[in-house]
Amino acid sequence: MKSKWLFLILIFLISCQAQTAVPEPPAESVENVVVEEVAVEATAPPVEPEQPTAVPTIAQAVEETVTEEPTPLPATPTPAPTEEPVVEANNFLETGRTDLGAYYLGSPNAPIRMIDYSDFL
Amino acid sequence: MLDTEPQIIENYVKTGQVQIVFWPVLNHGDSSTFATLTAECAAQQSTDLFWDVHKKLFENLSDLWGATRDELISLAVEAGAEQATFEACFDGPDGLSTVLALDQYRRDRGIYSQPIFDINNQIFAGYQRVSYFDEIFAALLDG
Repeated sequence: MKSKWLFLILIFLISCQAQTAVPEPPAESVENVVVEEVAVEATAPPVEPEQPTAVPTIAQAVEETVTEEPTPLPATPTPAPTEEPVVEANNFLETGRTDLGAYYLGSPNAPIRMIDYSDFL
Repeated sequence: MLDTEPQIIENYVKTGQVQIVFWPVLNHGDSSTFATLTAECAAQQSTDLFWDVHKKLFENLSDLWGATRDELISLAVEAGAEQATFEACFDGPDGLSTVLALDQYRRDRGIYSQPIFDINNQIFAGYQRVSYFDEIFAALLDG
């Protein structure tokens, strides 16, 4: 009978020790983590919604271009006045054809007529 | 005349004292004939053009011997002739008959050599310096 009591005591002790050996569950339960996350989310500063990037319209671009400071053009040198074209001498003189078909240069009223009988060769 | 003519033009023609008449002499066969025909066909477009071509022909005297049709056409076109009209004259009978008639006329006048200068019906033969003409012109203008 005595050994029976000893056996029971032993069983009790073993079971108690087994209970102490089982690690305690972590203090933070899943619920706690979720709550914390929610809390963090609640305390975080609100993120400003991203402002849409303004795309300039063609009119704006043109306006910007127009309102830009005009670049001064480089000074163009003033061209020197051109000389009078050289005109062939006979362009000032009367030319024509005689009754017999030869060609003359100079005034028909000139006091001297010089007929030049020549070969071009 | 290549050297003396420009001086005569400057000193006497421009002042209204002298009129120059060019009369062709064909003493060197076909080369003479076609060179003169070149001047004639240019003249049919403009009498001013005649004197431009006349000047060019004398400036290119050494190239005129045996000059081809195309070379003569180029010379006239460079002087200002309209090519198609010029070619029609150059290849046709009218220009050539005019040139030959002028040449016959000087033969009929007894002129066979060149150059010959008829100055107010006085005949002077051969190439002369401008001073030679100065004396002739002075005598005629003073008289």
